[in-house]
Amino acid sequence: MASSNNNNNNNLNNVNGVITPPSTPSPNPLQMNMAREREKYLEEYNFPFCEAATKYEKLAKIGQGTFGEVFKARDKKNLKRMVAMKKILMENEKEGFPITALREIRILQLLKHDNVVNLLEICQTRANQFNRYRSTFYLVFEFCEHDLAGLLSNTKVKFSLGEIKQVIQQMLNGLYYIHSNKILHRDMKAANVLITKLGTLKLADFGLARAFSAQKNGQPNRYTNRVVTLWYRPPELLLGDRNYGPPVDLWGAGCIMAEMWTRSPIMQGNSEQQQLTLISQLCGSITPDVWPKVESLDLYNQLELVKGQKRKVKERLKPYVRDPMGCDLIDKLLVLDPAKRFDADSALNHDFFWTDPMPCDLSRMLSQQTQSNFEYLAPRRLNNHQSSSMRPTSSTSSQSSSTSTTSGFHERVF
Amino acid sequence: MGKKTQKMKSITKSKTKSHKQKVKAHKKNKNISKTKHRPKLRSESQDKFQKPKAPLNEYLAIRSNYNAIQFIFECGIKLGLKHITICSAAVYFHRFYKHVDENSYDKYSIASATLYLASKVQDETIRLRDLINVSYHTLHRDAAPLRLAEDYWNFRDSIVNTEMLIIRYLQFDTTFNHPHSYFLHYVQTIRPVFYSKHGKDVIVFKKAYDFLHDFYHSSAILQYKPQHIAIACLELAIKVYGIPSQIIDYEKQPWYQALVEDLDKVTLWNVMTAIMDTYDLEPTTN
Repeated sequence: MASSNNNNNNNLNNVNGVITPPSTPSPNPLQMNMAREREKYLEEYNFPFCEAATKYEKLAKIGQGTFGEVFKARDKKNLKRMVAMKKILMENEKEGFPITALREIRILQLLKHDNVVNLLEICQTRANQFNRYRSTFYLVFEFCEHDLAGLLSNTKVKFSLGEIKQVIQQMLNGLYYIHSNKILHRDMKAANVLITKLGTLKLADFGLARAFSAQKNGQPNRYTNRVVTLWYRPPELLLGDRNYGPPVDLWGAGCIMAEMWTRSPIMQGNSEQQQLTLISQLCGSITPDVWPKVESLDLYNQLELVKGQKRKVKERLKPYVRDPMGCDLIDKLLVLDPAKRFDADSALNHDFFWTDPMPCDLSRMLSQQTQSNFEYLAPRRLNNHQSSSMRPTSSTSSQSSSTSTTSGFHERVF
Repeated sequence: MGKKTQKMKSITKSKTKSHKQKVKAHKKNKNISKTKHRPKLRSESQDKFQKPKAPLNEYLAIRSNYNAIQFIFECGIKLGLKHITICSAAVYFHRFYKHVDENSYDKYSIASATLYLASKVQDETIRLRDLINVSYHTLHRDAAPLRLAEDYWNFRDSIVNTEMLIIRYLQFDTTFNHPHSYFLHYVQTIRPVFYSKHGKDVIVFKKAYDFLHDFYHSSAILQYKPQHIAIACLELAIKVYGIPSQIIDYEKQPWYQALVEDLDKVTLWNVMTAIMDTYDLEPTTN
């Protein structure tokens, strides 16, 4: 990896190199001249407001996914200043600047909150012959030392109850803020929850986020339901709902909260169908009795729904979550009917956060961590022995245990 | 040409016989009147079939910022974009030219690219192909559509590249607080007070809305608070059409003070003057 990094840096610096003629031979010398002039112009053009990515030195790759690559980097002028650089994927360059990146940038520019990752600037590489005269753009964020998935997979990291409360409270604070700004995150998962070494939690990766609104002119919204990493995907999305809202993020928050104790994702399905089955086995069967409007969802009749399951969120989580208040809050978040699911505000008012031990500072616990904990860098999480008791011993278990180890953490099913 | 389109129309559109006949008759009449008024059209278009070369229209004759915004509005409406999207494009255009020398880039390329960018930002993405056809046709009204050849691909490349250029000059900041939502809110508030018994109100508010849109032709739109712009448009329309004097007494308390706190008389006049100045930007045609 280091070598590729170097190589890349070379490319960036090699701005004044000799310009090689374009690989496709052009018949007309005049045209060729013009093309050369154009290339030279592009190489030497200085954008007044867009800083060069070379002002940062890449140190290590800390993330990889469908969204692209994330690097840890440091400011060359101020070596102590660390940043995270997220590369903007230009997969469809014929259509210009990707609309998804545009959306992400807009949302990040709007959201300024302690518990939301802070976008510092956007940098670009210079156009040159190595990148076919197309600049690459990087989103530059403040650097956060850990992500929650990385911390949870490190068995040496131990959270006390007060510290868990602090994490969950900050996460809900972040969600409350983004939801009151009419933004849906749509990719809540432990790996997207960052924690600085001082113990401040930041919601990250708004690559799938979007603005939401109430129904316009009585027309239901038609958002895509192919969002949220499968293990954290709420039942309404799995059933094809396209008129969803903030509750989709709170389901994920519930999953993450339970994970604080179980240490691995609580429902690791390998298909939409299996995920629904796992949900039913934990939260009870999906029926119009517990969820009145479920029948109107597109896939309600097409997917196989387990019948006769009782809700046993508290029972199944009790062995892990010793705190009855915590158990109760998870139970309120993992509610099948999105209309009855707790919103961020009522979750923050839950007694869990207002009884002893009160939420407490994380910085002391984290100061024992001398290395960053990132999911990308961590060894694969051991799902089997830890979560085997979370997984019901039903017909699907043999199938799921074989797949859960292979399913990478960056799986995002589109 | 007339015959051909007529045939095609009848194939695609006709559902009932009477409708078909109507369409035919209508087409026929239209063609007759067209040829009467524009006898050159047929020969012109036949020549253009080989190589499009249109006469200079008003856009190409005067390449002013005003005309470029006019172009944005015309193309945006032809593409069926929302008003907010078109207005965003105009704002990006002004913001871009705040930093760039007037003559460095082709204004209509910039204008097309701002429309493309605005359509992405407002979740109303238009197809590049449509944008190119509409832009080209707006500039060269009598020309045949660009064929899928070098010119077309160059046009396409230039829009994509220009978009990347603009976005960097905008510093990736594509948000703009448009006066529209304030405007609608104010209209809803004052309408029952001012005009409950008069039939005039629709005209007044329509005119105010026109002022608002016309103001996007001026880069002064960037200078003022959206609330102030909305009030100024309404006030200007009220001034133009008059308002029952027993309802508002400017000496006592101007009506807008109930809606906006930080608007003084001088600022209001400045905004109103800026709106009126927009009309001086319009190039005079001979």
